[in-house]
This record gives sequence, structure tokens and C-alpha cells, in this order.
Amino acid sequence: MRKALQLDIAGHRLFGTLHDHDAPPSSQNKQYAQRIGVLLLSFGQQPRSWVGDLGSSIADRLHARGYPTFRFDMPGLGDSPGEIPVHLEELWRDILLGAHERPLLALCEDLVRRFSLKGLIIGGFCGGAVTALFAVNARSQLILGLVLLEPEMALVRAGSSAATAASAPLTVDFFQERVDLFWQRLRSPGSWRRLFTAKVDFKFWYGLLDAAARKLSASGRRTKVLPHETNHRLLASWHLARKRRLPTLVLSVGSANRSKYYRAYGLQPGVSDEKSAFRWVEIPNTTHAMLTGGAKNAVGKHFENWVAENFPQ
Amino acid sequence: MKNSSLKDNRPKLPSPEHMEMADYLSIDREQLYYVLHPTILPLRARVLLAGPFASERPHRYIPWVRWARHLANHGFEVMRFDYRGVGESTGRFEDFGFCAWLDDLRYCADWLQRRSPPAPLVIHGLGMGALLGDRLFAQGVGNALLAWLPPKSARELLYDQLKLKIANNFILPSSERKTRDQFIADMENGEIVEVEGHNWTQLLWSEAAEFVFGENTCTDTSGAGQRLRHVGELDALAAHTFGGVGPNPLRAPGGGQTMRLVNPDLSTCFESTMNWLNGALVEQGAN
Repeated sequence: MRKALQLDIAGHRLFGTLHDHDAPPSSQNKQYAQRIGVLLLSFGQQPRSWVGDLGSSIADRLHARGYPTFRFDMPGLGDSPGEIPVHLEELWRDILLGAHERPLLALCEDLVRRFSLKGLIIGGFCGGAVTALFAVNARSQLILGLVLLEPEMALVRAGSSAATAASAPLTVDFFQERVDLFWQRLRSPGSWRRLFTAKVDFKFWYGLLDAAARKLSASGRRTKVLPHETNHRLLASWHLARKRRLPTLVLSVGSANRSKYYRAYGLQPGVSDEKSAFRWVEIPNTTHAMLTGGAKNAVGKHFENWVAENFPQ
Repeated sequence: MKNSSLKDNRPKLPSPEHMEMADYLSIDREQLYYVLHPTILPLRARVLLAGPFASERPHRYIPWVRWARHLANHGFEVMRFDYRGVGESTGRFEDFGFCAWLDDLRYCADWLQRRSPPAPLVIHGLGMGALLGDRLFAQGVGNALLAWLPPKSARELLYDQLKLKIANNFILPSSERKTRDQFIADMENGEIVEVEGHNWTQLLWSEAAEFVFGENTCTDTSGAGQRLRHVGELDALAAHTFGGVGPNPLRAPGGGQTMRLVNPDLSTCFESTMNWLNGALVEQGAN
């Protein structure tokens, strides 16, 4: 049973969906009171059912296990009214900097009060995982656990002016991309031609050499150098969640590239720590959307099993 | 729109966005999700938006909602919905096909036409929605049909969307390497083919053969009170935004990696379509 919700939260009107039994979810009904709910946040610009309806399929599974599950569109996305930027990268940048943090916290408080819940497990995909992690900073007792699908640890660079951004190239100076580009350029005749005709991309080479030098220097000092684009506040939230032993499930793509990506931020993909109720599962043979190769089913199973194990009700 | 409280003592008028309402209709034991965009202006007509195919839905959602709000801001009451098995509506995707989705469209059209006061009904379809709208319009439902980016047929639509399967399989090292025709042969043999999280079935493929755009056209293009059918010509920006057609038209030649569009200014497309709607309503003597 699904129910459409429209709530006025922190100055925004948010549209959402509740997957629950057809019963009055009020404090008058003892049977339904003090349950643990799950709130799912979509990734980036996608509506709350997520690409391939992964979000709604996870919510159906959790509902079948007895967990009231909510999915909401953040301001300006999906059905929720609100302004969003013209360019995708600007929207992502805003989300990665915590644009949805305040509405999320207010939403959690409202849902817990309105539906007499004990607390909420926050599940988010990509940018939604970032918002979920930021919510940890509030140290709210209402947030009982996290499920992070494909969390993004990097910031996106976007031009400040929408007008210039339409025609200006986006600067991509992620260290990992630079390294990959370096190997591509080594094999590119055009790149060698530019080198010998003095049409060298100095910015690229400077960035690569600078980052490599800092990395070398840091390895000499045995300290970890994070990539330029690291979302430090997010990383701090990650460590805070671990320090607080907040039960957390991370689901990420099990590919060499994705593992390399997370290791660059000092994380250990696929390594769990049962003592702190932290589990990291890598889903093999799939893409970032986590749909193909049977991932839609696998993600749903891991999600519902983890919730049922850690929050039995 | 950003919600900001008014500092003065003027009475607050409800904005159309704050009057939007989401709910469910019951159809064959499933829940059909819809959003109604009422208008605060004198009602000119009702518009039923028939959205695109499941795998296109998330990528067209933002401009589609913006279009609904634009219509509501110009005196139209708008209804949009999710087909059964897709998005917010319940049901398993694999249990439905084009015929069921046509039933959904008809169900919504009936529901919208029962609202008062009476007003002309415009069916506006995008992609697959245009195919379904075309069929429903040919059956005598609605006063006008507007189609954006209609595929030639449902089979052409599915064939095109199979590119997503090919692209994903190309990325994944252990995936099967098959052509689109081989996947279609699999479906014809009763196998399920997963495309972007949705299970395509023999039913989906076989029903697709019955849907060809313009096959049952009943076009009346002149005279007052006549039913009008129109295929909208979208500019490059609108075609890119609503259908993923062509590269980003705002990309400057040689400009390197350009940022992608999520909420571009579609006023040119919106205004030209509004002009057609105004003309259509005048022709029908409904304005």
C-alpha cells in the first residue's frame, strides 16, 4: 500500500511516498507506534523512485518486512517545487556541499513525530548518500542508521556563472582522471605532436606533477594525501559516523576502478567492521546505477537483510 | 520557486505550486499515481500529460513537471500520472504492456473529464505517451491531441531503448555480448530481458506491434468544434531536453567539456506550444 505525502518542511513543500500498511499511523494506535522507519533519498537530479525504479523496489521490500518506508523528493526535484540551477554540475555541487541537509533534518523530525516512530534509518544513493552522511553531524538521536549506496566522496567543480558555464569548458582536474589521461596521452600520437610543436597543455602537466610531487612527499612523511577535490566535510562526517558506531551499510560497485576511487580517499571498500556495526558490500558486475547484472535484486536483498538484522521489529 | 514568507500584511494568495496535489487512483487492484496541477486563473481547458516510456521517465521528469506548471500558470488544469508498474504507481513492470498503459491513460482521461466545471480536454503525449495518446484520441477521447517526439511505432521505441542494454553490457566485462536483434529474439522466445532495471517480456514486445503512430488518425483540422491533432516541432534545446535528441545545443563548438543541462530555459518551446493551444481552443470555440 502506497500513500502520497505532501509536507511543508523547513519552508519547502516536499512530495513523498509512504509504503506502509493501510492503518492509522498515529500514537493512538499502539500496534503501529514506536516502529523504526526508513527514509530513502534519491541521487542527484533523479525523482524519488530512482533510475529503474530501484528506490521504489527497495521500499516495497522493506515494507514487506514491516518497516514503514518513506521516499521524498528534495526541493526542486521530482514533484517537489523549488528552484534548481540550469546545469547539472551546479546542482550536484550544491548537493555535495550540503544543500539538502537542512530539509532532511527537518523532514526526519517531522516524520518521527507525525508517524510516532522510534527513529529513522536514512538510505541515500550517490548524492543522496552524501546528504544522509551530512545528517550525522547534527548528532540527532532520531537517526538510527545509514545505508549509503555509491557515496560520492569528491566535490564537483562548476563555474559560478551560469551564463559563462554554457559555453566555457568544465575544468576537470581530478587527480585520478589526470593519471588516467596521462596514460591515454602517452599512447596518443596527437598528444606527442602537440608536445613537439610546443602546443603543450601546461595546466594539465603542472597539475599532474604538482599532485604527484605532493603525493611523493607525503608518502615520505607517511601521511595520506587526499585528492584535490576531496569533500573534507563529508569525510569528517564519515569518520564521525564510524566514531559514534552508527550502524552503517555501504553498497558500492565492485570494480577495480571504483575500489581505486574509494581507496584514494583513505577508505577500505569491501572491508567491514562488525564491532562498529559497519558493513561494506561490493556488488560485482554492475554500473553506478546499480541495476544491471542482477544488481537491482542484490541491492534490495542486502538492504532489507541488513535492516532486519540490525533493527529487528 | 523558493518558499519565502511575506514580510508585509498583504493577504497571501495561494500559488499554483502550493495547490498541486498528489494521490492515487485504484485500477484493477493496483494504485495509479497522479499529480493534479490546478490553476488559479479562469479554467480554459484540461490537459492530460501522457509521459514517456519507463527508461526515459527519470531523465525527462524535471522538464515535464516544469511544463505542467507552465500550463497551470496559464489557465490550464493539468494531470500527469505514472503508468502501472512504473515510478510511483504500484505493480510489477513485467506484468504490463502497451495495452494496459493505454487503459491507464483512458482511465485518467475519464477521471479528468468527470471534474467540474466542464472544459475541453487536451491529450498531450511525450514519446510513448504520444503513441498512446494518438490511439486514445483516434477512439474519440479528447478535444485535441498534441504529440511531442512520437516514435514511428512502439517497436521502434523499444528497439531504440535497447541501446541502453547494449551500452551497459559493453561496459561490463562479464556481460553477454548480443545485438539488439538477438535480445529481441530472446523476448520472442519467452525470455526476460532486463533493461535499465525493468524486465522486458514477450508480452511487451508482442503488444508493441499493435502501436503505430498515426495509423488510426482521425484528423479534423478545420472548422469550429473540430478535433485537432498536432505533432509539435521542438527546437533543438527542447528536443535535447525532452528526448535526449542530439548533443547539448548550448555547447560551443570547440568549447571542450561543457556542463550538462538539467533545467534550461525552455520558454521558446513553451510559448510556441502555448500559441498552438490558444489557436486550438479558439478553433473549437471554447475560449
